Amino acid sequence: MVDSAPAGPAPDAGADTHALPDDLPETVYAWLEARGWGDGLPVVAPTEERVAAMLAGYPGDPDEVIGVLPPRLGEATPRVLAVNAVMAGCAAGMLPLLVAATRGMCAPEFNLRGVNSTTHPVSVMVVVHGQAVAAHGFNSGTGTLGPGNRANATLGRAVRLALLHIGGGTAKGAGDAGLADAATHGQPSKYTFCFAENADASPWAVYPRSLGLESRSAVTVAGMENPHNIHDMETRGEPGPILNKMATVMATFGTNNAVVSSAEYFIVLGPEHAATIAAAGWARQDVQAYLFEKARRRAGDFRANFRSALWCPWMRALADDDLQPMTESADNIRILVAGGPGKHSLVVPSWGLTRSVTVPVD
Amino acid sequence: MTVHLLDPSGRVGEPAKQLAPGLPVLTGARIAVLDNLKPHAGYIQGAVARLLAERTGAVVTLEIPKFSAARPAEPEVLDRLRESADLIITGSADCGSCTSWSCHDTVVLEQAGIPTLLLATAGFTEIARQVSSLYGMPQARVLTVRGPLGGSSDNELDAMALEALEDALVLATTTPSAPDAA
Repeated sequence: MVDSAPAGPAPDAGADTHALPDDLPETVYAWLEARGWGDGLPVVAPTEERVAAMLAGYPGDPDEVIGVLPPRLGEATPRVLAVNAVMAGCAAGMLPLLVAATRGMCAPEFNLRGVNSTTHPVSVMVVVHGQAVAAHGFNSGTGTLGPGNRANATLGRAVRLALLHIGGGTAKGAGDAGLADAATHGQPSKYTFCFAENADASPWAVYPRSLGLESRSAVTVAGMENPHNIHDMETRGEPGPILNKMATVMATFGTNNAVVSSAEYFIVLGPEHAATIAAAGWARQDVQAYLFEKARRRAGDFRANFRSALWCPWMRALADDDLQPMTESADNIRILVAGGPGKHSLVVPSWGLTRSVTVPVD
Repeated sequence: MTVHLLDPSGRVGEPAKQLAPGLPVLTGARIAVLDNLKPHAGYIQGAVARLLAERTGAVVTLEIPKFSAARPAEPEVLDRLRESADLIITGSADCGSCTSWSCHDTVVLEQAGIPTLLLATAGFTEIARQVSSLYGMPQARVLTVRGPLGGSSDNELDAMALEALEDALVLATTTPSAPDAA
């Protein structure tokens, strides 16, 4: 029984317990600051009762080591993740989604060691798919990237808190007090970066289905930059002009995609752009193929700008005046639909040496 | 009114690790460079290796790149190093992911029994020590150069290498102990 125990860990706790005189916001802030924890914003105090409620109904072993998060190499268990979910403000029932996101980040191809320590501002983009969107109250429509919706805001924040606390990815430059995140500037999406696929407004199968996944729900994690907006009100009929604008955003030398040809882009189409494209008979693969053809620059210009770059062999064989694609495969251009009415879509560039991972959730 | 809050950071299970012994005599020793392909990393690491060789009668036997600074050294690269080197100079640690993965490589090579100097710029030395500590090796042989490497001329890089030579000699020929635990 823990209710009569003195300060100290509960017998079955994977996480240590800290005794505080109260859980006033000021007290909790001081507790965080003394340990270098938190994202700078207020948190919900992770009391034993709240963490137990977060764990209630979790279908797996609460002490399973989902993965070890670098660079700190802390063990991410559902129990410790639940502490972070509470702190982030997640509603009960969200833990399986946070566990799925953590599994994704621990896949070798995600390269979490790089993502959680680089000078690049990369954050972890989290996308929720399928039945979990409605079941947990995610907003897949207007303002899906926020602010305002609890589920979107808190799942993304819980991922970040796990990376800060378990992974030790706290800002660390010369003279800074953190542990190991060397991001020169960081970016706003390092606070939270989560949205939901708008399946109802998508003319195509849900994104996980395009990967061959048949689960009821899924969570995608990807190491990405902040999104860049595309505005097109002019196009009707053939969708080329919308996609041409996207291609100009993709074909910049200012992203790491230019240096790493295996890197992905996420193209988040607003429903209206998606409808225009689909009405012309285009499938998801047609959008991928078109952008692969259009997002190119002279190979000689690539070489003039980058001395050491990770381009696949056939790109290196191009003549200077040949057009080199921004990515080595059309499959690296990931297409999904999210957001509400309006003539806007998003291009999301990659950190580079990381692959997105989609984890089924049932 | 006492409340009990749960710790959000979880356990860390990384055990402490030992360094490979330093080489008492460098004369005749084989020095290899593991280049992570960051701009000028291979250049300055090679410069340090050659200065060490000139000073001591060691030989530079191998300068080999890995695929990317943001990934660990490939097994075949590690095999080549094990076959070819008594002393390794690796790095550079002058950004975040490259520092983190260079620390990883350093620990792997030290565990393979080869003293390994991790070349770090001044701006990233502290993070290199921190990450090495997280790997259980706070005493890692971090060789600090002034930096930054990116944007520096060959003459500046040569000067940085020369400034670091004495430190490199000490790190290669001794076995640093772990600093006092914080």
